[in-house]
Amino acid sequence: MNPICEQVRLSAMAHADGESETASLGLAEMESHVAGCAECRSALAEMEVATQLLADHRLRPQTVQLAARVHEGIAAAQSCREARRFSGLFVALLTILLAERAITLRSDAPTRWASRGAVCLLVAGWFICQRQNPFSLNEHLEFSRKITL
Amino acid sequence: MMDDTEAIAQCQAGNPEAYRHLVERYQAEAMGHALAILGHRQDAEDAVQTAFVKAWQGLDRFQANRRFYPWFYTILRNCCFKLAARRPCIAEGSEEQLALVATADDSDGLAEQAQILEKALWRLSAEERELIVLKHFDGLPYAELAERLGIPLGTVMSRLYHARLQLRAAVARLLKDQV
Repeated sequence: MNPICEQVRLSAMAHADGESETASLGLAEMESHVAGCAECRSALAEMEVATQLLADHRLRPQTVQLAARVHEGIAAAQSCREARRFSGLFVALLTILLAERAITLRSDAPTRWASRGAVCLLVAGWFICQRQNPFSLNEHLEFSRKITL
Repeated sequence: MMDDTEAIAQCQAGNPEAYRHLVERYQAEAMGHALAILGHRQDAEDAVQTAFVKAWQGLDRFQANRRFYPWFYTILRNCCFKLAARRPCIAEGSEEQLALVATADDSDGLAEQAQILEKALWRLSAEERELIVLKHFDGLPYAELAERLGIPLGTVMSRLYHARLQLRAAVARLLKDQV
């Protein structure tokens, strides 16, 4: 399809949908092209058939009651968030204690503490990179468990 | 009945009961949209539930001058497409696949047409089916389609044009198969 034909067909569709302001071509310009282009006439006729078919139908109304499930889901998500917050506090406290211990013992065996610190940093860095909290509950497991209750 | 603005304000103030109003008001519409993308009732229910939970978590970022459903719809479609990527496609005509289309009136000719249209819709991609549903069954203008789908207006027009032609071709093939 050449760019002019595409422009004409999209403009024709916009006019037919009552969205003339979005059409890049005016009606007169479009009609003069369509009059001389059999491919555009055929494509527009096909589109008209599809539009008419859709106009006679609607989306089947759905009956569903999800309020209770959503409520349970929200409660589960909130409990996960709480657990994450507390585990964050726990990690922070543990880090402070370990840091304090490392500083105290640093003068006794500097190399050993440096290597232990590096391992701790690597482990913490891994969880940070994975955006995971090692102490939190498994959100997906907890979520699905609550849903099936 | 509480209106959306009031319900959202109460939710933002931390009242989860107010959220029930929003869920009950929009769950059927959301279910229809999720079904159009996923074609499977259980998956659609899961997607709608997840979307409502995510929306609740994001309500503090919701701007009061916006309408709830268009905002919620972007969350819903993300949940649907994420779920669709994890699940295998459901074969056309499968028992799991649900009826999506109803006739505008009860005449017999239209019922037969509805069946053909239904089959033709399931032959489109999920994106094409979504676009057709939003445009033709919900009657959304191009600008709102662009906003909901997060794509430029020109792309909406182009995709809609191709989706309609695909649908027409699918209907023609189905009619030919019937003969």
